[in-house]
Amino acid sequence: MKSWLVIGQYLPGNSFIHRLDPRTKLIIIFSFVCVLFFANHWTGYLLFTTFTIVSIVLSKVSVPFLLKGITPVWFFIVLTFFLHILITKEGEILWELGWFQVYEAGLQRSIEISWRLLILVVFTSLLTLTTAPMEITDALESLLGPLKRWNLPIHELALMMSISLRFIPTLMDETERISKAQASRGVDLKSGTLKDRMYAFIPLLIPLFIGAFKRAEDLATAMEVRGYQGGEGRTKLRALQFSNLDIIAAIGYVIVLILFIYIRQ
Amino acid sequence: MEITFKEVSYTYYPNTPYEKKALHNVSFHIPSGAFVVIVGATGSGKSTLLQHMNGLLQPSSGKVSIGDYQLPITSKKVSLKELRKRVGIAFQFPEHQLFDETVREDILFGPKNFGIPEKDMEHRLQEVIHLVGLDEELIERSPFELSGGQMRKVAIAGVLASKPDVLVLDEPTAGLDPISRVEMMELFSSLHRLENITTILVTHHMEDALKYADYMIVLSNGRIHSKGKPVDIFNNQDALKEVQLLLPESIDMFHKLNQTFDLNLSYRGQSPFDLAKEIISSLGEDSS
Repeated sequence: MKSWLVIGQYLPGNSFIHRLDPRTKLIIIFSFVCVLFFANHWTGYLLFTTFTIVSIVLSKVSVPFLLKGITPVWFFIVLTFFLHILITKEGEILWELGWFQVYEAGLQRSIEISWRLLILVVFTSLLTLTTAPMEITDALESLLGPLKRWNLPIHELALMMSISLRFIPTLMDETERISKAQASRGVDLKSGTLKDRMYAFIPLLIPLFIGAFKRAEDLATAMEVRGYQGGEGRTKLRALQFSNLDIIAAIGYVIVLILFIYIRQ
Repeated sequence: MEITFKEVSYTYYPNTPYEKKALHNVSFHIPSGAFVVIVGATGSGKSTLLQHMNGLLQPSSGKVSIGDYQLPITSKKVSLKELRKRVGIAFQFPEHQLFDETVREDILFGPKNFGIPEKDMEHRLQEVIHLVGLDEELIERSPFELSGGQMRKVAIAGVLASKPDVLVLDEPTAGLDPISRVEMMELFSSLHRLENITTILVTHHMEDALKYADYMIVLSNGRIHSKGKPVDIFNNQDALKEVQLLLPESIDMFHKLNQTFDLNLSYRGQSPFDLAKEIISSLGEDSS
């Protein structure tokens, strides 16, 4: 497993955030991400930053682990920062180097936007860090349930999603196994020209695909053998249940929203 | 090539919450030309250990030397390719590595990567398909049309085609039918005897361990539980039970007969045939 895979990988735990109903988490995060874009003043950012920090503390996820997990996103955050500095040309010039000028408004905007992006990424990765993929799928199925009335295949979509999630680690293991087997036969994925390296992927991809097809067939058989017939009338082993914790979380979130509306006025 | 492990430890995903120590201070020495069997329950670190033998994994601490090679590799000049050419590994279910259009291409994939001259290829191909007992008609077929047993043979042939000095086998006979199993074990045994290939075999078949091993290493939870000659290992029945292993059937039967008839015989590495003779003769003494 490579380090970049840590992005939002579920960390089992028993914190306040872990024990929340996944639906509560989904609703809060989805709406939070939308509300985040209405922040237009530093007090708003301060409020949201505090909310994020409180959530991190409550989730008991270690901060270095969380920050390491979002490593690949740093590039976009930095890129956004510089794009806004370059594009915005309002207010006083703070600093100048040839054709490159930093405006007061530009600096302010770029800090705001990249900070917003950072909060967004940290917050959403908090969801996947504290919620098992299956819980997220169940929550989605439950929240999107009403759409079944218009004949949308919500159960099937949720099933597809959970099967794909279930097989990611399996495929990762398989990839590692096969690449080790081929490395033992002299395949070198790390050196050579780009063309060489692309060719070196063929011995990895073909067995991987063949294995995946076989596994899909086996899974379909196994499901049918155990009487799977689709979502009609199917009950859940772990039914989702709101608890007092969810009420506390909802109240906390609503207070933040009210404060935000107050600040904006 | 001789292989020496010196206080080798290996940790998966260090410094993450998934950190897992798979090997703890493992030390042993395998002389050139030996046939060593490694046994241990599932998850005891066998596969991790094997992957150090051609540099797929490098020890987190400690030293591994394989012939002239030293792991961990500190200098970038040392090529792992040369090491991998000399140490062939067949992983569990090696048929999962097949990918090429024809059996011929797949078998010669390793030698090609290792830069074996084109003119030697055909000779090598013929040599290995006869070794593993593959039908010559099959070499132009797609490996995916073959039966499971034939695919296994193709994969093993692919490892042998690079002519390694050390052969590392991770449960090479798992899932084969009984006759293919015996044939394949006989193949490894004769390669070891005739070509003097250092062989390291991981197996759950205690009979195979007893029959072929010069030396055994028992792993348990990433540590060496015991090592020594098969006779000594199998004479310590209680220690074997501790690590979820059973005696080979022949020895087990011998012990049971010994107990039932109070024979007072001891196991010193006799063949099943000699054991039977001893039992008969001492039973004869009793009744006379």
